[in-house]
Amino acid sequence: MKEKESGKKPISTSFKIVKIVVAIIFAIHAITLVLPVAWGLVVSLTPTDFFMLNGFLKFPTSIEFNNYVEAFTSIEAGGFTFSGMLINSVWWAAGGAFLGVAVSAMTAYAVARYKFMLGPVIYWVAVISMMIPIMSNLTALFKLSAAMSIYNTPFMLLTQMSGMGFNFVVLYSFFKGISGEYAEAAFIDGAGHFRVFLTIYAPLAVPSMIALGLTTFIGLWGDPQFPLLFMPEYPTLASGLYTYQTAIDRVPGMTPILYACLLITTIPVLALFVIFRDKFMDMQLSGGIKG
Amino acid sequence: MKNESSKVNGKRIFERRGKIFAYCMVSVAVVHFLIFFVYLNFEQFRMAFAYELADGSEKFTFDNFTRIFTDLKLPNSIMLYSLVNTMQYWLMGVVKLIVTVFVSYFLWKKVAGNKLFIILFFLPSIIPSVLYVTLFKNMISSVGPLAVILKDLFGYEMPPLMAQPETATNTIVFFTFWAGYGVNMLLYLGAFGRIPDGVIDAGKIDGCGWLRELWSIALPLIWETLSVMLILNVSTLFTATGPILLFTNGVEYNHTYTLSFWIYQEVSAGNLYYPSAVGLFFTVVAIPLVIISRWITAKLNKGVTY
Repeated sequence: MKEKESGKKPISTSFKIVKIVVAIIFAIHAITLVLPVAWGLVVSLTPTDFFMLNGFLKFPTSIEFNNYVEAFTSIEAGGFTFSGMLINSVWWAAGGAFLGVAVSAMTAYAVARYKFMLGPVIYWVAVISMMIPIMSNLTALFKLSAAMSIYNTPFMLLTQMSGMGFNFVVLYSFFKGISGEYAEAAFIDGAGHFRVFLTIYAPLAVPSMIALGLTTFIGLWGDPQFPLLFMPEYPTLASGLYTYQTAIDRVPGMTPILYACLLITTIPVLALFVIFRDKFMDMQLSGGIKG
Repeated sequence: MKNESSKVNGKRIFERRGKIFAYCMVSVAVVHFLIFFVYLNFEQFRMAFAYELADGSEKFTFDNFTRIFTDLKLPNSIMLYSLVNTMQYWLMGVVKLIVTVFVSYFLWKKVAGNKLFIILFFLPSIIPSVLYVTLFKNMISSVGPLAVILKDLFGYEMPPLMAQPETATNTIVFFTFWAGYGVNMLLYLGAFGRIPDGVIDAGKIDGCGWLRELWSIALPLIWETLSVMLILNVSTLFTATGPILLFTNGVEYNHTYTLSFWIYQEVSAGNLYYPSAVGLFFTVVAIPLVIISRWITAKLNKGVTY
């Protein structure tokens, strides 16, 4: 092994300086990311009459926690109160995440562990279709959803049941990597195929499914555009609060209550992230996508 | 003999049941794919070559495609500036990709506070965009706290960034950079994390500086992850966009549309045929570019494994 004693110290010192500079840049950026949320929190606790007079220009002199209570009754969009929009968000995001992951897990397990004619076809079609840069088939989806009579109904959840997307690719790799001995032992004991999937392999995949489900849940929870376009009469928190913000008859002084609503919308996703942080980060960090 | 034959029969029945089980398990995904991918794209293809008559019937036409070229030639057409804006978002995506590699590298090198930074940089990916955009938009507005601070401290009058075509798109593009590299950061961090320590130590012993280590050791070793992200980035050439609806409430006067957002707005207004043609046209243009990028990244792959 070569050792360059004369060159080693300067490189190490200079990299330390670089790391310090980078840390300062990261800190500044982190502060700019946190500051808007902190500011939003301050506005959400501002009394509405104070805000009516001063807008964003003055720091509030008192705190109004009642804004968070008012959030559930005062804000309305599309005929739904905040509570109604919250329920819509829950079934849309949780339902979509569950269906997407469940169908993907079933498909990935079958393709990974069974030899049948359609198996390789499904795998390659899934991989290739992910790479095709399809530019927005919203027009066709709009027409199809109307033809299927699912437009503007909770049945739009059917569009989230894709079993051949990114979730499939991740779970396929997972199931492919598990030993077949578990299944063989179970079959010898008389277990059927579905029982082996449900009681042996699916539980092993739970951490990955949780991470994938969480990613899908976060995406569906925070997206206003799809519900606005395809479920206008079932506003979620994201689409409903956006609609409320743009309503011309909205009372300007309601901004603190609106901010309270917006901050409340983050609580479920933040709570889920905190609870499942390790599984979520492990999946992302173990990524390394093999092209 | 009888026992052997019944064993073989038993195995065949088991295998047949296994295949039936497999087909049942994939049935939902296959049906979904046939409807929401195959039929959907076929329908878009068909609508791209049609327009709707007053009586609700459809007529075959190439006019949708000739209209694309006509619109692109007009100096201030929505189509032209939407395309230009899309390119801006895509270029920012390229910049973001490069910056994210550096950010992930330094987080992997355990810069001070790296664990906290990982969580904070990832936060915008978790927090609903309607919240972040609302807060950002109001913070930078001409009556927001940033404007007040700049006026009080420096006497600078903050312009209404979202009201002017010259600054509106740039503002949203900046937002996508400022808040948008959390997920990819984790992917690269994971890829860096799998590099064996021995490889890095050997580089240090040979006197590699951090830039040399990043360029000659780390990047080749994470190339598989990076190449997939590069290909995915090329595939967004014409679909790149930002949270335009949340920033602008959908108004068009400040020239903020991208191709994707324009299609969304057209569908919202019930216009389906011309947007189908636009979507099909740019999909067809993008496909060879994705194939070329895949070929280039494969050529650049030095086949390093560990």
